Amino acid sequence: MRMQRLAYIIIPLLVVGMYVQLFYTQEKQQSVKEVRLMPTMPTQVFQVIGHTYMQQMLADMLFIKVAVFYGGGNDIEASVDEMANHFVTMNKLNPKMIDFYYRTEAALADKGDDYTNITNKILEVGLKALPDQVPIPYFEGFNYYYYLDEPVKAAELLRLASTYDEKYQWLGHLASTLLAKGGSIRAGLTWLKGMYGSMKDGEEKERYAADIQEFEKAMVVQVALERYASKSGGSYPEKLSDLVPEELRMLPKFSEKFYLDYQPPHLYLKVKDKRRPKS
Amino acid sequence: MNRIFALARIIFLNGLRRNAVWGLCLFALMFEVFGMLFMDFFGRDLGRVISDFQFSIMWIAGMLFILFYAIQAIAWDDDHRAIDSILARPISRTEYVLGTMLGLTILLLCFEALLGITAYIQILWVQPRAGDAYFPIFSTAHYWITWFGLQFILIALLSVAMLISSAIRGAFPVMLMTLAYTLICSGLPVVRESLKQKANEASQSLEQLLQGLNMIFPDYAMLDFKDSVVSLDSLESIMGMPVWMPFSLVGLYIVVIIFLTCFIYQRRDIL
Repeated sequence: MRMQRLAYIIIPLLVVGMYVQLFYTQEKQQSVKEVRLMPTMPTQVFQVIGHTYMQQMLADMLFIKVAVFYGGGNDIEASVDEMANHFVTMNKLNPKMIDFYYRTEAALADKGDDYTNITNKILEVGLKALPDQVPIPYFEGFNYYYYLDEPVKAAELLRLASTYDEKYQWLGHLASTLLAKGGSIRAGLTWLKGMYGSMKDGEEKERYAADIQEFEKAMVVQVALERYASKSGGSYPEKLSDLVPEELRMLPKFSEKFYLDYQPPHLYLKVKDKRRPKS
Repeated sequence: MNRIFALARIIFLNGLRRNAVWGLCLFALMFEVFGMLFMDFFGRDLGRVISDFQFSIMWIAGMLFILFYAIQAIAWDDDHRAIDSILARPISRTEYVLGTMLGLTILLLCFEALLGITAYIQILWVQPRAGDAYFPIFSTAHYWITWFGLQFILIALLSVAMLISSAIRGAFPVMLMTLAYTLICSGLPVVRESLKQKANEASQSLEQLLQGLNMIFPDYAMLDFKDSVVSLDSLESIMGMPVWMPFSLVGLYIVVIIFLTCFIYQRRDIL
C-alpha cells in the first residue's frame, strides 16, 4: 500500500523531470541550428488574404518576423531571397506601411543589383501609395545614384521629392549638384548624411558613418582640384599627384572599399566592394 | 413584435450564460492588451499599427463568435433541438428568424462594443506617450465610423449564416459554407481586378458574370475604413465614394438576406 502511494508520487515526478530535461536539451540544440526565414505564402493565397479585413495585420506580423530575424544576428546573406520575398509580400498586403520602406531600404538595397532593383520597385509602389512621404523618392534616388550608377534618374527623383513641401526645396539643389561637373562627390556626401540621419539601427548608422568619412576625404581632393583650376585659369592637372605638395600635403588613403577615379576634369569616388557581385 | 423581442431577449440572455462566449471575450481582451507588447518594432507607423491591430482582433473575435457560437445557436439537427421547443410555442417562423437574428445581433454588438471601448481607451492612453513623431493623428470620429463599418460586415455575415442555416441541416456544414462564402467574397474582387487588364470579348462577358456574382457575394472591403483612423482626410476622399453608400448597400443586402431566410423557413420542413 505504502509502495503504491510512493509510486503515485515518484512516477509523475520522474516523468515531469524527464520532460524538463528534454525541453532544455531541445532548446540548446535549437540555438545552434541554422535559422532561416520561412518562405512566404504563394502569390494567389496572399492576394486573396490581402483582400480581407486582416491584410494590414498580416503585413505587420510579417514585418515583425523579418525584423526579429534581421536583428537576431542570423546569417542575412543566406536568406536574402526569402527576405526579398517577404518584403514583396508585405508591400502587396499593405503598401501604406511607412516603417516597411525604411526597413526595405536598410536591409535589401545594398545586397546586389537585383535586390536594389527589387527595392526600387517596392519604393515605386510607395511613391503612389504615400505621395507625401519624402523619404521614399529620397531612398529610391539614393539607390539609383549609389548602387546603380544612374545619376540622371537619381536627380529626377530628388527633384520630385523637392516638390513635396517648401522645406524640401534643398533637395532640388542637391539634384542640380549631382548633375553638375564635379558635383558627384558633394552630392554623395550630402546624400549619405541624409541617409545616416534617417536610420535608427546602430549597425546601419555605423555603415553610413564609415562611408561618410571616405567621402569627406574625397571632398578634400575635390576642393584641392578646384583650387588648382582656379589658380591655373581653368585647367586641371593631368594626374592627382600633381596636386601635392601645393594644394595637398599628401593624397588621402582610402579604405579597401573605395578608390578615387580621376578622369580630368571629373573626380569620382568609386566603390570596389560595396555590395554582392552582380548576378 | 412582442414575441420577436421576447425571443431576442431569450437568445441574448442565453448567450450571456455561455462560458464559451465569455471565454472568447476574455481572450480577445487579452490579445488587445498584450498585443501592445509587440508595438516596439514600429516607429513611424505606430498609430496605424495599433489601430489596425485592434480592429483586426475585433474582426477575428466577431468571426469566431459567428462561426462557433451563433451557428450553434441557430442550427437544427439531431444535436440541436432548441428550434423545436421554440417553434412549439405560438411564434411564427418569420418571428423566429427575426427574433433570433435580433438577439444574436445585440449579443454580438455588446461583445464588440466592449472590445471597441477597450481598444479606444488603449489608443487614447498610448497616443500622448508615443508623441507626435510616431503617432501624430488619431481621429475619434473615424475610429467609431470604422467600428460601425466592421459591425455591418459582421451582421451581414451573421445574416448569411442564418440564411445558410435555413437551407442546410447541421452546425458543421453551415460553418463550412459560411467560411466558403467569406473566402469567395474576398477572392472575387481579386479575380475581377485581374480580368480588367484583359480587353477581349470573352473576358467582357466573364466580367459581367463576375459583376453579377459580386452582387451576391459583396466586396466587404468597402466598409473597411481602417486607413482613415490615423488620417484627417475626409472619408469620401479615402474611400472614393460617399460614406452613406457602402452602409446603405450592405444594409439593404442584410434586409434582402433576412427576407430570403424568412421565405425559406416558411417553406421548409424542420422536423
